[in-house]
Amino acid sequence: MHPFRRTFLKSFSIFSSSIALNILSGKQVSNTIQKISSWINLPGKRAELTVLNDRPINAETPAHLLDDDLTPNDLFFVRNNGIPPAKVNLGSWTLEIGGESIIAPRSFSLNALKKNFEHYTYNLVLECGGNGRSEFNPPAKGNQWTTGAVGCAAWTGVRLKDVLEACGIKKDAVYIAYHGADSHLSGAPDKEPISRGVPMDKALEDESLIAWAMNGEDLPELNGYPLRLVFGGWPASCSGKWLNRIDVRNRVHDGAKMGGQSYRVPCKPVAPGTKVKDEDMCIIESMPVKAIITYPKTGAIINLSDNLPIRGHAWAGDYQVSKVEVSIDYGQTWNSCQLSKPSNRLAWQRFEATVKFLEIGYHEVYVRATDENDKSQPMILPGWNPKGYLNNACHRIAIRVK
Amino acid sequence: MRKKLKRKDATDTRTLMYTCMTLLSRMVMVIVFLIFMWGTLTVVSPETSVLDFTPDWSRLDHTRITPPLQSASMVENGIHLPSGLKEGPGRRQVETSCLSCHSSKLITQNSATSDGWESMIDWMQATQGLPALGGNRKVIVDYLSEYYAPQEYSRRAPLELEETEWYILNLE
Repeated sequence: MHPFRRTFLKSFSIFSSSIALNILSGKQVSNTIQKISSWINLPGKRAELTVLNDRPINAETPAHLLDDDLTPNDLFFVRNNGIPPAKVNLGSWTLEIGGESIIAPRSFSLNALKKNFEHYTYNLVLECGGNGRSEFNPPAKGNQWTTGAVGCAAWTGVRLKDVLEACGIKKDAVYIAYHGADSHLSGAPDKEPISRGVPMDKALEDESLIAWAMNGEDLPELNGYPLRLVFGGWPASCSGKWLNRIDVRNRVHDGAKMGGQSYRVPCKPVAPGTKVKDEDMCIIESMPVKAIITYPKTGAIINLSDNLPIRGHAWAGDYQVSKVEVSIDYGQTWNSCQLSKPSNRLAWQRFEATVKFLEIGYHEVYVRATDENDKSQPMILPGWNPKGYLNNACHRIAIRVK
Repeated sequence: MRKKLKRKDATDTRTLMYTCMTLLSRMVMVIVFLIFMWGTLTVVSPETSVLDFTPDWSRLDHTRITPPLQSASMVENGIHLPSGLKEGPGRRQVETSCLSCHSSKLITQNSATSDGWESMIDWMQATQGLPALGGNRKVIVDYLSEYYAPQEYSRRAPLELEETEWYILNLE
């Protein structure tokens, strides 16, 4: 080879690889840490989950493992704030109903709960408010979720409203608050790791469940066994696990991780990196519209003659998804996907499409969902917020065509 | 690349022609610039005669005129005011070698890794008449890649392709 050409090629490859290193070195380190930590076995979970933290346990599902219509129990993500109860005694487990705005406080055994109220099963999406946090810059502290802190399962239980109405709800009721049997990381017995809830309107919806089963089986121990709340479409932190008490409050609940910066975003938009006072932060309610490509797995190498099927799920908090589109040219053109109706309100919806590439080389596939209010996903990141919540930027995968 | 430079230094006649052309073009550029400055000042402050003009480097906005050497008091918020460059080891060499031809803004609006700055210097030497820099080259590249490095900030980072496990997907 001509010496100049060799030098040029060499310097070019050094140049390009050093760019890649600059961008990736931090991530590579954290990914290696994740790979090492994923050897830790999580009870009831498959080893393919990406473990972000092992005390408390936090693990997410790689996008291509979310391909099932309903996320299997052993693949459903885990977001724990504390340490789950070591031993669960089903016979003595009780659910207390109380609070300032309940007329007749009551206590239910698991059996009484199952016997006294009608059972319902709904397919409901649970997504962590911080799903996608890893993309925010300046970075937000916390578990660096990529795309997998979401799942949709068939939850079976009783309606929260049936149970609360059986105890009588006072007119001044504002919020429900949950308490669970998990313990604080510090071990302090008087400290709760998390105690959140939802406003009465959300609590009294038909799909708001006190659930004991997931996809027809007992709840996995990391997902709240034996009892939990499920509020589809809202930050999953609202859906208390290892549930042993529900209070109906006459004010917005003030439990652990209700105030401060937790699960809250600036009431008014701020510039990236802004310090926002606690009193200027507002509680996250319905989650934003989002879609994830579950097939193919990123990194597929295909032939130019191939038609590539694309599929995944789309969801939109309290709302229905009205449209999902796919782009193979970075958003210059979009094509509509086939979109199924949700199996029930607050379930995710399947989308499917086939794409054909016209050129060999490196490509990215983007999907973009739009909800019934005509809100769709941004291709870049949505508004920065101090804790890195609500990233609903379009999901994308890499494809090579040869 | 270093070999190439030595070769260039060795070819005397070419270097001489090169230097002559560079000097000529630089003189033309200085004259054009002075005419331009005179015109600008007349427009900006017509009451000021060119005759009582005294250099006000801050108003001149760090143009290509190399200012006289100044004390450290000319540095504010890490910026060397006369040149508009970030203060640091190598700043003076950059002023001497780069700002004699172009404005510091051509540097301060850019960012690159050391390889990136090296390739820009190569390009300037190959096409723009920048002479060999000798021992200053490393000082300059070190300064530029330290103070004008690529920002890692991104509204959305590229996909992590280094981490991607590529696999053959058999369709049909």
